[in-house]
Amino acid sequence: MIIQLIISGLAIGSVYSLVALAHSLIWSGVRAVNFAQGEVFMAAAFVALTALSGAGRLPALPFGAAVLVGVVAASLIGLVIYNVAIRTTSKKGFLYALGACIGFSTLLQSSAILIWGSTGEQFPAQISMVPLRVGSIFIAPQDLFIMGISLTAMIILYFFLSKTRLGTAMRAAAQNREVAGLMGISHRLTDSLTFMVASCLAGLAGILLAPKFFVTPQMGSMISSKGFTAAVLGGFGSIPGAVLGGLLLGVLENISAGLISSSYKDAISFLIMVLIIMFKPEGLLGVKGGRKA
Amino acid sequence: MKARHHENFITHVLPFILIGVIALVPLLTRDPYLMHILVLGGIYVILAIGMNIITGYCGQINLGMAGFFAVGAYTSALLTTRLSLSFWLALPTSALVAGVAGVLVGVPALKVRGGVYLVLITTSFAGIVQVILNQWVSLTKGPMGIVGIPAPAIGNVLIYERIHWFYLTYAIVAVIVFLAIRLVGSRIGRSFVALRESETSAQSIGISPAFYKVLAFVCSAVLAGIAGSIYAHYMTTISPDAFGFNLSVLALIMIVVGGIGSIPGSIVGGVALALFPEWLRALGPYQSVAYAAGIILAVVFLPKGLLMMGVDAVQLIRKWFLAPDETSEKEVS
Repeated sequence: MIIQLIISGLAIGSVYSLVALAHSLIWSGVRAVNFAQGEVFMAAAFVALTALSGAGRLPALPFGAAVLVGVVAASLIGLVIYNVAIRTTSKKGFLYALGACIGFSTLLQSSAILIWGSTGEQFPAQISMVPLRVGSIFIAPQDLFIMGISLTAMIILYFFLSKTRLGTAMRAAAQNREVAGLMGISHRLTDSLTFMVASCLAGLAGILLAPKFFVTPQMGSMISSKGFTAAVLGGFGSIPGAVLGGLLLGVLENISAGLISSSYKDAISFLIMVLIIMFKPEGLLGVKGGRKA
Repeated sequence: MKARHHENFITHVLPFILIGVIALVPLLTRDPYLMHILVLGGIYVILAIGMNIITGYCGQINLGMAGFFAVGAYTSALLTTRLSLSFWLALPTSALVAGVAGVLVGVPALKVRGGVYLVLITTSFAGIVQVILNQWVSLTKGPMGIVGIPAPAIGNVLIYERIHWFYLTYAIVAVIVFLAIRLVGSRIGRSFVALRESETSAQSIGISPAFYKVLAFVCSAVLAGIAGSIYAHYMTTISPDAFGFNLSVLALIMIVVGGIGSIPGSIVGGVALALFPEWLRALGPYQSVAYAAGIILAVVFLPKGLLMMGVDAVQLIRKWFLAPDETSEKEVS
């Protein structure tokens, strides 16, 4: 029973990890927070769904291509959010960045309602939902697929950050903004890139989770708070922390929902957030001092 | 000397002129729909003043206003429907209960440094309140909400007509504006501002950050509770949907649009955000998209808020039309 809950918790947790990674990348690189992350997640799911089923004269694309379209759309949205909401308000203060981001999340949500309607659509399952039996536990191939893709995305991210020139520039900017600027790394370039990469991750998370739930314009607000909790749990701004925080949150949530009560499932995530912020604000793997959010 | 005079006018006289102008609207039209929007606007003004005290004056970003608003609304609704208390007792009680919630949020918020965690902790509070409203069915009736919240009475007259609500709301708004102006001009208000500007220097002159931050949370929670109580009795029906994250966001946008750290700005912001969606109604399905775009534009391009932009415009016009000697005198002072 417990193992069962842990495994399905890990699947949803790996999706939380991707969203938390997006927050951590942006925080460590740009010292900003994208409060519209949840809506990037939602928009990517809708775009991928449209690409998958075809619209108007556009042909229906295979799943892989549809994922790519959704992720690219997410990264473009991230680029616009950075350049319109974050860069213009960076000197005015956090309050304005927050206001502009929230404006964006409303904009994306209402645009989605306008384009796709407010009722939501079913994302066709790509992988069989019928659980496999391994010993005494059941594992849905869907869950394995989600975990596999998330892991692949994280590995690609790792190689991008550590092996490529652009990734190195991003890490340099994250380590020390001023000195990176002095070394000729354009802030505007690395910041835009960070937002795009982060939005790719959030978008991918949206597409992965879409077959498990209904795709609705409101789905972003739920994942947005889960992503924040996961990021805070692992340590805001820490990359390994985001992965750990997401997985841990998924498992904790699933166990408490399974063993205690599912009606207070969403409150668990809020409670974890408040407790961590109060008693261990640097998170589980966070860097102490100086980097507090 | 003159600049000081000018500032005095904005902080002490302008708010009452604004309320007076709104109170004159029924002379022109008694359209019930407009009255409805303006009553909501008045409730928003109270919420915006609360938001401005904590965020504008004390510099603590609070995205949990919906939680305090919900606490006020449900306290008032439960007291009047279950215990058949009068509105006039339920209103202060809900302010009190919301104030206690303010302590509950303010104390943990003290441990938090920096804006992001404060945003997260206050949103979590509002999120927890909403989960409780939805799940504690025996008390709150869950997603069904509470219906049949009685109208307040003054003497033997029940207040249920829009126009009566309009006058009642703006009377309460006027009292709150008066008290808020006194508060922000007092030693307490100056301490809030000192904390916002620099916690270290505020501490060095003997201002306790812990005490004043919690106090600011309590003040804003009390105002949100009062706004919630009025809302519950005005709407007569409340359900958890009305107190979601969007409401907290609305409170933030109100002060950004109206003017951060300004009581008259809160009046402008509150009424503007009640009216703004109505102006966009002609756009049909594009209404909410245009609304969101308008908010982004306002945040990015109106850093001082609508009110100060208006004041600046008036000053500019005066500079153009006044005699040159008077202008130069102003520049000297």
